[in-house]
Amino acid sequence: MKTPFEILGIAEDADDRQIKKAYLEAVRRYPPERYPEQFQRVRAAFEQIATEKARVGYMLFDTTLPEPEEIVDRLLRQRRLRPVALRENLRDLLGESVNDCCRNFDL
Amino acid sequence: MAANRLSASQLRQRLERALDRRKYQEALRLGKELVKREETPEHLDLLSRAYQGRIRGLAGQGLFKEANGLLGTMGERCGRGLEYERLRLVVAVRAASWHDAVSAYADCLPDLTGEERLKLEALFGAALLAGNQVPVDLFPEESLVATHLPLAEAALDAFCGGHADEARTALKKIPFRSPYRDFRLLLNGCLLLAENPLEADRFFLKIPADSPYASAAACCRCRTYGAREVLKCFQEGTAGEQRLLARVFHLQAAETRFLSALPEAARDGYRFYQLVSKDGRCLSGTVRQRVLKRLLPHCSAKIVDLLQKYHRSMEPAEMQRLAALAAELDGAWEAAVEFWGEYLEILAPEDPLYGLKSALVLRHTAELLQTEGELFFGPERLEVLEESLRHDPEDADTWLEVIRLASRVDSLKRAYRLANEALEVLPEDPRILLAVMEAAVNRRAFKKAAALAGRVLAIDPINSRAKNLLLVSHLGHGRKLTRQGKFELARREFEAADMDVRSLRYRGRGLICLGMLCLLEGLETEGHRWVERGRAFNGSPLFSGLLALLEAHLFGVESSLIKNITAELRELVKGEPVREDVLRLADWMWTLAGEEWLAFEKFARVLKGYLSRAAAEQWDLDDGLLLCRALHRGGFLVALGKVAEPLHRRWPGHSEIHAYELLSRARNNGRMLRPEDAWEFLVLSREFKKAGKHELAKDLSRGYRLASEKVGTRMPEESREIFELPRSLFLEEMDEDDDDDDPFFPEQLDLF
Repeated sequence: MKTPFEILGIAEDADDRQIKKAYLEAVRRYPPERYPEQFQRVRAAFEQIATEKARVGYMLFDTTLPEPEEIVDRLLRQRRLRPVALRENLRDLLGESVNDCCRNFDL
Repeated sequence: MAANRLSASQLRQRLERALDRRKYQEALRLGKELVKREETPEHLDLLSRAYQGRIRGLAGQGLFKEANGLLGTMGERCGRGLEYERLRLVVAVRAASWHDAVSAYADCLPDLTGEERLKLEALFGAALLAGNQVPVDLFPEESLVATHLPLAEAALDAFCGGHADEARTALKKIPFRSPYRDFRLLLNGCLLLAENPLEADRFFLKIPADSPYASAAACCRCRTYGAREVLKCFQEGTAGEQRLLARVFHLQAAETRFLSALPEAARDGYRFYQLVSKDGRCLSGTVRQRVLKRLLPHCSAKIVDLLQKYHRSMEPAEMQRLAALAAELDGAWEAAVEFWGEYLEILAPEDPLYGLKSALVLRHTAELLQTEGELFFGPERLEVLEESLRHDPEDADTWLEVIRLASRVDSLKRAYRLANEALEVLPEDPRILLAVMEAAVNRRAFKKAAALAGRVLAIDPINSRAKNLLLVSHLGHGRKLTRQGKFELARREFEAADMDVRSLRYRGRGLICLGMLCLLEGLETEGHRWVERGRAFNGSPLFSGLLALLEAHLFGVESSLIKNITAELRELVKGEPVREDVLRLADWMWTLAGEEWLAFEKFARVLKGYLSRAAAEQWDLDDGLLLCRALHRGGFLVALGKVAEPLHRRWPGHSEIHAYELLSRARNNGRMLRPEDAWEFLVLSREFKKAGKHELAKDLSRGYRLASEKVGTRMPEESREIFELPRSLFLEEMDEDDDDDDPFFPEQLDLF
């Protein structure tokens, strides 16, 4: 499970106004009629941190167990090659790909 | 047997069998011997097959030098025909010896199929793009490898130089029938990868599995993978897939081990913590610390050691908070309450959120105290919640809870005081106004309640609860004035009560009260008239008769009219129950409160036979449940059994129905209870305590005591304290047949 802050893409010290803005942007991106699941997620996240009282309550009492996917996601975010890296690596990638093909080649 | 002792035909048979079984090394040995004996074209062909199999095998193992050596021998022994040339090409390609491969390709060209030519040309093209030294001048004239190479090179250079538009333009120039067709798909996908991974994926998926670009496409597809796919690959994927992913994401061996162990470890909080703590170094320091902190509450009792060993730098208050959460998750709510108490003691008052944090923690503690039901910690919860309101006084929900709790576990006086305090803080909140109204009615401050009703109705003109409370206030105030002998003022209250009555429960009630007032004044005729008018408003003779009887008890009226109504009711309850009347009656009984309920109890038994017959009819779940609640409240346990038993058979998983079914069998000192019922009582009692249905829970826990005593079930030690309650329940109930003889004998009201 991502934290509500991560779902809305905001910092943990965001105020009410920033949270509402992020929520409205997320709703525009995931309108409920087209993306019901994502919308529910966004809505639930917003409700968890919409007010200062809710945020403090979340910080104090949340016991959601981190999910393995969340950990992997964080890891990939550190490692995922940016487009520029793909550009730099494409020739090497082609070389490896040709070698793979050669190893299995037959007529 | 040695090959040289075998006859030629035996050798041939064995050779063919070895070839069928792909035992090429053995086949080669047998083939050489056979050809030595009889060098026929057939035998040479068999030997050639053995050579081919063995050479392919060596090339497959990467032993290209050995494969080429054997290939030379094959050419000498079996001739350099078509198969030899094809094999030469395969070995050269597998060895990535591009000069030999192109040379062999040129020699084989007339004998290759169109598909084989395309496949080879695509491979040579890819090798050229990857920067391999492929002799372009050796390609036959008709080959497109060299012709289209500049177009593909231009596209690749543009992409690698970061010129996406140029790359797209160059790609468009590559014809569909080109050795670089798959390269076009790959590069188109790469161009879309960052902005539209799904669309990019469509291009990658079009590249065939035997294409020289297939592996590159698979790598690019991995870049579009989310965490779920990566995790799934490390959980279920093949070693090759895992290697590919590790390559794409530059994962070290320790990191791949971490990812492989993650799904299993994540099933247990402590193991999860250990894995992240020991092997999760691939996460950045901050991320790792945050994950570990979130995992700490899931480490159960080990949290104390972990905090002391590895998290010494943590704020003491934060340590208490995590320990409290761990205790909660462990079900140790008493320990959790202690930890939260310590948290509050060391929470720094300079913290800008000190007040809010304190209020929230106190409310959380109150919730924990409710774990075992408010019967046990009601007063403590009340104190804690009141304390929380001192830190955060504008929380309407907490005010409502303290008002409700005060009326249950302390006194109506305290509830009324709290309600008035709430009103000072939140004067416009309709829920608070209603709570104050209720508290005022309970304290018999009817005038105040009526005034508050006006304020609620000004905000919400159709609020039915406010209207009902207003009506109750008028009636209550009228009765109070009547008792004080202020008949004229009382009359005004009753007249006011009769205005704008929507609820069936109160229709005609004001007129009946006016009639009672007249009867008290000695105005018999006028009194009869008002009562009859009030009853006529009500519709049902049975229900209106009950209302009149209730008011007569509340007013303390003794008149011939009451005797008449009582006699009429006795006749009415002998008739067949009318479904609509029964449900209305059940609803009424379920909602009666205060002095009205006490007055009703005095003549409730008149309904026993009627309700018992009504209960024997078939009821659906909703109506049946309403009837069960009313019968339970009224203590009509025989009738309760008649409704609850068939409902329980139809909906065995419905816990409230099950509770009523059990309670109905607890009558007659529990003679009908079974040994296993004791446990059912206990389980349901706990369930309803948690759900806040305390009256029902209380009866069930008493039922548990009764059942465990009757059937000899030993009460578990840990439950003993919880169920140490007075045992004055489930008295012998009179047989149902007796009720007609004495319909006014209270049935079984000790329950309440």
